[in-house]
Amino acid sequence: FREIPLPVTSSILPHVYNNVSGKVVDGQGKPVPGVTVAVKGTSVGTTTDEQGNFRISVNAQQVIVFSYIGYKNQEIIYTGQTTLTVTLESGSTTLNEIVTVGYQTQRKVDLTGAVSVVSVNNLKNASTPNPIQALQGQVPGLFITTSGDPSGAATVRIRGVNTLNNNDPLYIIDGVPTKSSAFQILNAEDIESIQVLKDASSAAIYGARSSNGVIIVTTKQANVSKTVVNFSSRFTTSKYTTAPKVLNTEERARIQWQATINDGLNPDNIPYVKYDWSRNPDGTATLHGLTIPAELAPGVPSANTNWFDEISRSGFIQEYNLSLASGSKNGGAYMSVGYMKDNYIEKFKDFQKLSLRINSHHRFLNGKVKIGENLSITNGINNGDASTSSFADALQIQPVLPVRLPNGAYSGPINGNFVDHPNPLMALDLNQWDQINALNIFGNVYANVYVTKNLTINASLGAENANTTVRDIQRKFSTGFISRTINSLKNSKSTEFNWNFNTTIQYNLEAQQHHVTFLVGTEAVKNNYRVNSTYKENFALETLDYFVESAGSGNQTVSGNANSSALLSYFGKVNYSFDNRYLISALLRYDGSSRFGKNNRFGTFPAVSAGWRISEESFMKDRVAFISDLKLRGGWGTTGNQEIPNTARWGLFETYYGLGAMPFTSDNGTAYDIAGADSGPLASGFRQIQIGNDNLRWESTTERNIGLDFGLFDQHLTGSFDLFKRSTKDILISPAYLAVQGEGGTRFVNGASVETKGFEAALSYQNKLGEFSYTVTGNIGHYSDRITNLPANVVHSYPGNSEQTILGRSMNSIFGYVADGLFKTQDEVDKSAVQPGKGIGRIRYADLNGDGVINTLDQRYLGISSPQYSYGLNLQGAYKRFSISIFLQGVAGISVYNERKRFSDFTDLWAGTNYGRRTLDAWSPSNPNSTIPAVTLSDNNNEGRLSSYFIENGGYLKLREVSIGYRLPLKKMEPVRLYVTGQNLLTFKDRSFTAPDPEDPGYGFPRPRKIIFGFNVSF
Amino acid sequence: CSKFLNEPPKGMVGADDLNTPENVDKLVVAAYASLGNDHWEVPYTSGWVFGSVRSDDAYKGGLGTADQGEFTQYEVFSTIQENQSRGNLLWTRLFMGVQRANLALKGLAKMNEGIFPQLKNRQAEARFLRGHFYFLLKEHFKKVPFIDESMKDDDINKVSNVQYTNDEQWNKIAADFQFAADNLPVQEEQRGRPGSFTAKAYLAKVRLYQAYEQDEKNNVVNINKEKLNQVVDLTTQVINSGRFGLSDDYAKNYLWQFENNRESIFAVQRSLNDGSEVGRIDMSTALNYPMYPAYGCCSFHRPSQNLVNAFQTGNDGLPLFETFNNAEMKDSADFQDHSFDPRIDHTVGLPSHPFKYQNKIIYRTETWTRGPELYGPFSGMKTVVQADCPCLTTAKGYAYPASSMNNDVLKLDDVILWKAEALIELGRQDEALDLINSVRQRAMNSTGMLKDANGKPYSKYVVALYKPGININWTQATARQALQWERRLEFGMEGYRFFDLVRWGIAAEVLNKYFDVESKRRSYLKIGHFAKNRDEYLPIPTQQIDLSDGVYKQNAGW
Repeated sequence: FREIPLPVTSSILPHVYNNVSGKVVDGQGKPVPGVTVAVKGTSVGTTTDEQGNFRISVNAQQVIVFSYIGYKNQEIIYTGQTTLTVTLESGSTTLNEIVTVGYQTQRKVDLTGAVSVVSVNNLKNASTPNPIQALQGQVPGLFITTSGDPSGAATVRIRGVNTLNNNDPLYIIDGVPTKSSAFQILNAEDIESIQVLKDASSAAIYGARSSNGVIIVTTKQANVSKTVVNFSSRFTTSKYTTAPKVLNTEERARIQWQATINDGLNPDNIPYVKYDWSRNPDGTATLHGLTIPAELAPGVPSANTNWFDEISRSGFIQEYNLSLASGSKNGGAYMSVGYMKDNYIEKFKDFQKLSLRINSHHRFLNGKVKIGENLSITNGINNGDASTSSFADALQIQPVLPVRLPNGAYSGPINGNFVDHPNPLMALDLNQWDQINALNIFGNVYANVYVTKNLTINASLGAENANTTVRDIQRKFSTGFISRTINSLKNSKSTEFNWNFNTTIQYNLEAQQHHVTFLVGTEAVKNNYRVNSTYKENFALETLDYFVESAGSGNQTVSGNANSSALLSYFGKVNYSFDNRYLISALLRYDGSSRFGKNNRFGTFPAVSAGWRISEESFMKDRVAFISDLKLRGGWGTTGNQEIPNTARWGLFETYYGLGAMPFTSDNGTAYDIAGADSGPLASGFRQIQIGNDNLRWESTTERNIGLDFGLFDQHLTGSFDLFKRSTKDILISPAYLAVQGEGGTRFVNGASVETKGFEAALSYQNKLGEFSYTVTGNIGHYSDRITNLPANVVHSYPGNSEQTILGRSMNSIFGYVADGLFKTQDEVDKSAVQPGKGIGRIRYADLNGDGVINTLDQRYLGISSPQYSYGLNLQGAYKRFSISIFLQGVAGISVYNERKRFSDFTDLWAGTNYGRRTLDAWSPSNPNSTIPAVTLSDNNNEGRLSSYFIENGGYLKLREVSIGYRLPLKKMEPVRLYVTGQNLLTFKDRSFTAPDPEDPGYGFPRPRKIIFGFNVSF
Repeated sequence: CSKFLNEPPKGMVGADDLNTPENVDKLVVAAYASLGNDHWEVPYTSGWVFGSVRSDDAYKGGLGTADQGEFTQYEVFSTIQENQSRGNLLWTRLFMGVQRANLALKGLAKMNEGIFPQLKNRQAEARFLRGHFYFLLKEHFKKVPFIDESMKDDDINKVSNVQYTNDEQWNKIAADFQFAADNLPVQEEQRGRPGSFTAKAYLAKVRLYQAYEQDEKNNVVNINKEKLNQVVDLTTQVINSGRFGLSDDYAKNYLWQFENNRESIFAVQRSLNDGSEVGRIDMSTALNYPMYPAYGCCSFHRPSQNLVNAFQTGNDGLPLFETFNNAEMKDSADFQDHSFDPRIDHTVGLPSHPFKYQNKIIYRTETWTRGPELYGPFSGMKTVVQADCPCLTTAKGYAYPASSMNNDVLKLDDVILWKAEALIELGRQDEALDLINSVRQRAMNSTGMLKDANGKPYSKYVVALYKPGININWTQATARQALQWERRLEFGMEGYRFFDLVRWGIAAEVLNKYFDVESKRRSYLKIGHFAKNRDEYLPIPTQQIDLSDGVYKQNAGW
């Protein structure tokens, strides 16, 4: 049982450094090529050559790790040998792995909580600016939802949802907590290890902010005398593959005619199109042909534009990473620089990220004091409109419009028959100077003092400075009825500055078979946020360089805001183990937050957990041969959540002079032209925005976890299983309030309760067949949540009606009408319940309560929009110099509201747009088996209502990644690794799901298919 | 460590910080600001949705029935749900206005005239504003909970919407206006504030609505003579005050350059270039511009065929009371071949006519409107400003034009016709004749701006005064018909029509007859049906009934 203080280091001093060479052989004495040889806790590493030989720089007392698929990891403490011969045993072991948990490190084998260790190697082939995104499907119980957003946004949920608030986990990067910017800060190349603390017994050490779980990231350190340089690069082509299938000009005109006929209207009134049609004796109509005029308006030719082709392009991503690690007995430094640029699959948009890291440390006083720093500077730049994808606009614009007019100008909606959205290509073009520039400086300085062999004092001062500037340039244009006659520039700059200071004291006690570790500590966190923005109109030139505030000559406004918060904490932890068999851990955290009322400012978060290593018992050890490792774990703990606004507890008024943008909803201004002057400065008053609550307190989550870790057949088969149940109470909510309370009746209270249950399992099998070694790793996670308590006045803020409420159901429940097929005959129409707008070819809604009327009471819960099961499967193999990895990921048990169906199946839910190709197969007397409602221009039947018509099975299995690698042998140099990776290659989805990608049923950023070529050089 | 955790809010104040004369005065300003804080999602400054689209005056318009689709439900009535979000939002937004007035009154109660000399004026203004929001609540929702400045948060939650009878509720509203009338100066301090006659005019409106007594099922069961006499008295005071007068040209009521003219008694003041980024502009009607490039978007609030037909006149210059709707007046030639009241060209954009008095800008159905196959060929003009108006802002939110033109709440022509209405219902129709004719005379005189570049009138205008014994037999019945018709023409598309019909107790008859004929012209109206004894009022939003824990009672029929 070994506890090692943070940051990862050995407390024994390095006095000798050397270059050691050696050979790795298997049990039969045959050389093993391709074995990873690494110095633990550093970026130093190599692989064995064809003859199994290696050469590496290492300090005395450092640990060399030998790992290869199909073999047990072997760790050797270097004691000054000049040559080493290492024999690898087949099987695998990760038992002695050291992992970072709260404020300390622990052997994995000694863990008593639910902690997952991420295989960082699996992140190396992917092309994404956000390494967290690459964890999707890799860790049981970690549910990650990604989008195709080039900046790499992802939603991360540990064990599902837990609160009605923010469900994002807490990130600890090199000991510094952050809630928000982990995505932007990290560069995959710099990551040494990632641990996920899933249950309360492991996460509670982070107290008030840990109820959604904790992700701990440790970055690389230098620790050798030799200088190691690593260079890697990747080139990726990306392709848009999930465009919806839409109508062309002629087809849309035909559908428009059909809809007009269906509605009993005269198609001759349809603008532009000349129809050759006739009315049959039986009242039906026949379309003989149609003509689209050459010109829609003077100077505007008609066209047949595929807008998806027009706005998309083949994307290209380039990535370069260079790192350098160098050290001596008195310290060392790791430096890295990375650059990536993604020319996104939408035209005029790109994303760039530059990352810089310097981690260094120095030792003093014979190694008794270690002082170091970790610093990362990242700059992510989004050019073009980063807020949304243009693909929704491309769906809304009709194919009959040309992209450009003969004079070269962009076309646009020329009159009222078109949606009031601009030409999407023009919008992309005009927005190309818009920029979001996120500069993050993140890091800490720390000191470790090894007072005695057993007593260590650690201190860390961390800071995070997130600066985001947003530039929004609106240029003039005029297309059809849409124009902008005044150009403008808006610059806003937000700064978030957080600092955090923590100190811990750790004491280790070993007496015979008893091992005890004590840890006590304090932590203080301050958080300051400020945003300022300026707005100016009227620029004489429209060049990027001219758009600075002083160059404008028109209306100008400024605005700004600020808020802040603080946290102060005390914590302690005791770990005890007896004879490597019985493990107990107990901890307590006491947190105070500025967000809470004076009456309940501090919260207490306890946790206990225990483990029993059954395989170490005498009745098992060496007696039950096939069991190599078996541990039973159990834990209980309470964690907190404080994700409410910094000002939530205060009763507040504010002045609100006027809006900062063209409003799309009601205004709440307090300024008024009381003098009737029509312009000039206004008098402005105050409005109430919130009612205070001095009793506000922590939301707390109590979790029970029971787990089993096992290794069988000499660790060929390893796995773990965890079962958990957690209940969250005092959830911070701001309930809906009676409208008579007026404005600002918002009041945060501790109200609701939620319960989540689930399990996670991971299983891994490693073995070899001749020279082919392989690993199969699978994981699955399941959770279900239900709301167990809600204040009466909050219940109706969630899906439900006066008879059915969300209580006892998942917070992600979908509630709506049941679409019971289409009316096919007048008889069916006549006999059905009262349903205004019903008719032949229209959706019949089920009369669930049988009262003969379709109304709000005829709704029920239709499904849950979060997955019940999430799983991943990794297949890895190696043969001589070749390696292959295949990664599949999927979700099951998820109902998706397919928003795209509003366009793909309907012509009336937004007139003036283009429609989906499915409308060609809409119901008609001659197509009586269609399940798609007859086309119409007016939604008299209110078919846009939330109904089962739009709810589809969103389960999928995706072939996320296939990667093939080859190690190129080079003389006098480490092998160069070359690889090719394909991402987002195949999607298997339910037949009933009608849009291309169940992960994107709306209009998010599409996920491109990517082909990646990469290489790695190290010397 | 408690110091370490002390992080007070920035840029905001607590209630106690507001107890100074300057800041209390600003609370009154904030209450005024509420007047104009509406938006197309629930317009209340303009009654285009709930007063006009719900009547026989107008269709919702826009790009198909699903565009702002909830308004279609209000338009056809048959598909309205009790929990519709827009209905709930309307209720909510109006109570925000009530609360701002109450917050101001609460602050004012802590002042005295020694430190705040305008105390009484401001109290009167705050009560005027509260009365205004309650009037809107009352005409939309009927059963309304009454909250005043003395109540604490917990008390407010217990107030029922049936604590007072219908009549008592009107009296509560009347009391606010009476207080305002008694305490406001004759000459308003600033144009945006009311004077005492403003309050009297609003009080007259309250008494007029109150006079038509309704039973629980919204049937008009009695017309209260005492209240009518109060209407006559109050309107006479306003008309004779010398502070107001009819504009010489009807057009001036709908042009920005003439806003705050003598005819305007109370208006929501709008502004542009006022230091805010977009201006405190009129967003309530921002969707109602046609798709002409100088405007932009979105072709909502479209005059019905029925309304256009109603402007027809006979050879005698009087409305075609019986036959107006027999034929559709829709083509350019129809407006030359038949005769019309000139107010049609002030109200409706007609095919090939100059639009909004702009002889160079000719209205074209096919390119200016959306979905003419659904919503017919016409566009509304009254809330649309001229294309070159400095008050028009299209620049920033490119597709959504809006202007700083005020929204009139009370106008003298309205007051004149209330007086006429009260006199007729009192059986004094002879005294009403001159009042109605004064409005018609002004309409007759308002053709100066309705001539094209060659001086030719846009349409054939034939309009005459009512001359008893000559062109009309002036009885209470005919006078009532003339009054009702006059209101429709004078205030067409202004959002009063639905509330007039409900006040008169004829909404079901008029609207179901309208649906019968109009649905043959506009197929989407096939599901239109006004449920008598229900649709006179919007349902109390289910959301509010649920939150009140059943303290609120639903309106009849829902």
